[in-house]
Amino acid sequence: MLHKIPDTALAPEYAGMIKPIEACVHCGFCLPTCPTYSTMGDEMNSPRGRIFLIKETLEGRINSSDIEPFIDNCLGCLACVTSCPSGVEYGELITPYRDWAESKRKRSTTEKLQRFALLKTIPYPARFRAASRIARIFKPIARYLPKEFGAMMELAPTELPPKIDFKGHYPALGQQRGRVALLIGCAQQTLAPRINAAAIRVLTRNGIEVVVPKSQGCCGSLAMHIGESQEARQAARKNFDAFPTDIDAVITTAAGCGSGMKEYTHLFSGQDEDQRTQANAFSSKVMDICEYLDNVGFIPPKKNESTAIKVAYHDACHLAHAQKIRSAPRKLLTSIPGIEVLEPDEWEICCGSAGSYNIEHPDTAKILGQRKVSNLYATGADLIATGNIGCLAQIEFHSKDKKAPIPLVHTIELLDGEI
Amino acid sequence: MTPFLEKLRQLYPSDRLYEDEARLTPYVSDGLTVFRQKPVAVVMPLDSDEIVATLKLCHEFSVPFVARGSGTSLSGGSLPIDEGIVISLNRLNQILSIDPDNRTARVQPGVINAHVSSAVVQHGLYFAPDPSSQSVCTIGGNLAFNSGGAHCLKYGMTSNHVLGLKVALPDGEIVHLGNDSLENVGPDCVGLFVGSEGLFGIALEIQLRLLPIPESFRTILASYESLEAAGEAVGTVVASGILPGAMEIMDKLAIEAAEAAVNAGYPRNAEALLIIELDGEAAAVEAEFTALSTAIEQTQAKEIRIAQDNEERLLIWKGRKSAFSAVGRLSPDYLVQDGVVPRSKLGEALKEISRLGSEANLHVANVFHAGDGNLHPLILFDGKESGALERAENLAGKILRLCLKLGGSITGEHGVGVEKKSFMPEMFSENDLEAFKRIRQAIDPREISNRGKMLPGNEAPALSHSGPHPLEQAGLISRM
Amino acid sequence: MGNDFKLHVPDTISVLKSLVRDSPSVSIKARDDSPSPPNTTAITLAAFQKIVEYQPEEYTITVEAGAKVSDVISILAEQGQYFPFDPLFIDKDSTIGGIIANGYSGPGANRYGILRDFIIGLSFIDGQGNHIKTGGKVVKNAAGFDIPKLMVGSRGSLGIITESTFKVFPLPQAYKTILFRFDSFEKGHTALLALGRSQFTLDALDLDSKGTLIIRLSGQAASIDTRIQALETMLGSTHDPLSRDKPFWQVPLNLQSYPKTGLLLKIPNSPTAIAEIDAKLAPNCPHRRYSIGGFVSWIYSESEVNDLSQSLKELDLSAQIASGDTLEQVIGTDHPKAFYNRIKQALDPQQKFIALYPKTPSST
Repeated sequence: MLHKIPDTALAPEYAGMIKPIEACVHCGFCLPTCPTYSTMGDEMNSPRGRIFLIKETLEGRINSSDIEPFIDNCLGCLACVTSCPSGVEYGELITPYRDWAESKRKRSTTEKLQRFALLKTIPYPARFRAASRIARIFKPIARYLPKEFGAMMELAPTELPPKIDFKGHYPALGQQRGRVALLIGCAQQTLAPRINAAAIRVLTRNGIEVVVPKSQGCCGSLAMHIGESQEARQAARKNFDAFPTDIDAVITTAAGCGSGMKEYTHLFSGQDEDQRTQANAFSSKVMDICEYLDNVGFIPPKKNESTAIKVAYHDACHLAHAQKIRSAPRKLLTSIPGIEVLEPDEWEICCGSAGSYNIEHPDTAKILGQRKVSNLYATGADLIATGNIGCLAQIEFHSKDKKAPIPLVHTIELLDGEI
Repeated sequence: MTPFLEKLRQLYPSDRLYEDEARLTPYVSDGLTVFRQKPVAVVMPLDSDEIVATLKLCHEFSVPFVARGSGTSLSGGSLPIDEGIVISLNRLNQILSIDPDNRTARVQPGVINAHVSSAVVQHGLYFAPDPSSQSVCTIGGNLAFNSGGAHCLKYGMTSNHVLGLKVALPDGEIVHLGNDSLENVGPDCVGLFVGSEGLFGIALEIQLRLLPIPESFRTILASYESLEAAGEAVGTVVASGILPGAMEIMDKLAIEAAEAAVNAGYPRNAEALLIIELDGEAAAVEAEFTALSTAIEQTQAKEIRIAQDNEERLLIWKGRKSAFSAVGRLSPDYLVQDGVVPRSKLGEALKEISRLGSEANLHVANVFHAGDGNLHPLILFDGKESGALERAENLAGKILRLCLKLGGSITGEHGVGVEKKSFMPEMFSENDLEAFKRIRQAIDPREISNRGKMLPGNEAPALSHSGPHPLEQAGLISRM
Repeated sequence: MGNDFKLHVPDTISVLKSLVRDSPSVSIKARDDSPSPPNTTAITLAAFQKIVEYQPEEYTITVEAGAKVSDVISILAEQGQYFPFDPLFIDKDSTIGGIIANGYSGPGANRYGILRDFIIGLSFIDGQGNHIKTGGKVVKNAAGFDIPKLMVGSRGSLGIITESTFKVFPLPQAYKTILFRFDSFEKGHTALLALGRSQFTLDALDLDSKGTLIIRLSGQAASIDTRIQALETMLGSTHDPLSRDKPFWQVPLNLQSYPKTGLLLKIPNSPTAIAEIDAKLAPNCPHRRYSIGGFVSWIYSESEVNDLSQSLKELDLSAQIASGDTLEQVIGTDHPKAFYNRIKQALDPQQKFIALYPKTPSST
């Protein structure tokens, strides 16, 4: 698309925004897969519309404050990237734009408090556990709280599973085929430590040595995706130091973390060369657990009896759209005797979790959550599997009214063979 | 304008009436981005009553309107009108009823083309018109522009698949055209309405004809050393007496772009690719396939591939249908043309387009419906280069004139819109255009319905091929 | 002109234009035996019979409106091509302009579509004597209003067709017509609906009032017997072959075979509506044929035209009168009338051509 953004208008870390704007041909193929367009039906809440609005803003024709609501509505699910024939990397536009616009933004006190609360609790397991306990107390009065906090309290887990303390090192079982470091994630560690436990079992059983760096922290994706790049870079730098370099891959079981870490190259694009090199090196090793297992050749667990089980697989946006990983999890799942993978309608439409979206935009998130749950339930599956903790929480939350809830698991738990 | 807007505000709540800069801006263009025009307002009706009330207001105040679906027009058909409003039909997106025994579906105009087929697949039926943008474009838009697609030769265009209409004329009068049958009593008013580019009002309900999904498909890819050889192969197939469901050609640039977009599995080293699809009863398709294979053997095909399963077949089509947008990967900007030439003149037309392209120092990618002689030259240019857009438009104009010279048409399926209306006098005489105008005025005396599209006149911008249009110079319209 | 009958035979477009300009009322005749209102200039296009352009590899043919349909059909057949809409009621006098104005398609239209689906270009003289060219000569064309389609079924009420271009198709290698007889009309109707939804691509699918399905297959000769077997499997019964195809198709659908005393109606309808139509019209309509996959009913009736019109209104249907002693053109419901009148006003403001919808209710 033609644009008139002055060459000098953008600092180096934002220069990458030009490419997606130029690549967009305004064909509209992104519209029907965009969760906000498909619920709201208006052009400014579509990827094409947002690209156009950002272009106009960067050209200086519109104030960034005027387009805030439409930018904020974006879930960052990147379904538009999957559907785009022109190869527009929308993620490379929206993430830096949010950061660019944040500095010009006037936020209300409650908004600021909410963002602060998010950024300072979810990434920190101890604080998150503590906050969850507090949230439980507020749950009954959630609907009386300001909108910004109501959803937070409502979505907070009623009960947290017992904490698991991971060891720093798990040797490979049998013949060693590789060595990886595992990002245990922040929210996931609090909400469902069983996922990483399963990952470690599957990896070691597959001959992979697993290192769990003790001093690791949040990957920074949450901050990055809401326009807090500074905060995100800080988190990333901490992990550059915490993770060893003599490994084949940095493994994550959370699609959101995986996609964020794969974006470090862009996050650090305006930084000095040392940091850029470090970011590139780290980023290039990041792999989703399924991607890695499929790559090394997954050895399915030995089972005495195979029971037929129908699994509805939910594509997490940050896995399917952002990392373009769709076939690996399906291939791995169907390699287990007895598992049949069912495909829900509208696989490409986000469930509404999208990082912290369900906390910041509860109304849209609710519509999307219910829509996703009805599509998943319509498959008639025995089980629902997905590769992201956020989706698990969102789907679970929106199926809580179901008479016969379908059990929900992370893909790796099925690969573990314990279910 | 103020009294009109005040009444409009009584009709719509503020969350369905956009008047502010940020919400109007994304509506300034459709799929043809070289033109932009800001509307006075955008409204989002929820039902037919609101549409009718809006039209009555527009009629009362002589305010022009354009109905808009997904905004994918490649001819600027849904470009807003100066001092006019946009009526966005996206929330009228319900499939009202499906009647499998009669093979019909009644839909609202904002329903997405592909959603019709997915809603009726459980009955073994589908909606045949398949424009490349079918995953996005709406039935209302298909209707207005008589959209085509890859399967037109055998199955016809949108017009051949619309049985009945409930229409709000531009003054708000509701009329019912057509019926539940393929046949008609009296003149074919549905036929007239389809393809009228929004000049006759807004279709509120559309009775679509559905077809049983063919029992069997055979999709064949044949690659050739040159575009010309592929064009000749089409002639050979036609001469063999077989009627394929689709015959498409893509050139090297288009293949490259489509491959990059969807990994369709096209042979990358081919200069030209011919896609042929047979469909029908299994036994009939197999017999045709034998005849087709014999025909193809007589052509100079370098490589022949046959889709092994439905997945491969769908991927082949996905590649083909992504080709336009995918060309965005090869070039920052492009113009797509839609002229038609007699099938036997395909080779001549392509050669001349290539010569004109070199002359203008511009690359032209070609993707086209070979069975229909419907060309889609994509003129690649870099808008940042000064004068490039003008050169591209100039070339586009020459290509259109070439199509006319060869006995064809300026548009096969994208419509005239804003883009090609200055070429209408080259295709039709003053007499013919005068008749169009009389019909238009009989339906819309105030000329408010999509004013400035299709029919040449002074009231709206036309794409000029010799520098900026006078209205551009006057600052009334602008380009991106 | 008075009441003296004179058939004008203009030989150029400009003579034709003048005739329209200078006459208060004009009608076109293919033959001189049909009734004509008084004070009307009767014109024949007998001088316009040229094949203007025919390149078989283009799948298109352009002919003048006075050309005989039977001649055009044989010219096409020589090149292995045909009109897929299966022109109906063809005799030695039928002209191309006539079949467009009447808009009749035969049973064979079941496969690819009716006449309006195959007309791509058309020239005509409007009520002010302007010669207007619309559409084009290529199979696909989206420029300008689709007047060629509008003229189909207009019965000359909007203008005098002078020339038209059709899309044509390759003639199938082989044909076979078979019958499936059912115990009752209902069973035949049920089978018709099932076949309509099925994946069989039948060249023709008709039902008669006794419950017999008349099916014609076309295509590569090698495949036809296999396809018939598949049909038998689906319908659970065996077929009766027909040795002589053409006579069978033409007899019930031959205009001349109906007595002039009654009315022959073309009723467009949905295939499911046939049951109700047959039940309601059976008493006074001795011949009933459901054609084009059940989308059209051909009804020969001995009822009064007003009674018929009333019955059709009760079914929310309309009909075109194909033959019979009446000046009525269209009976039953008249939903498109308001739209039609606007078009009529644009093309024939002085009402020189016939009126499709009577201004006041008929009192015949």
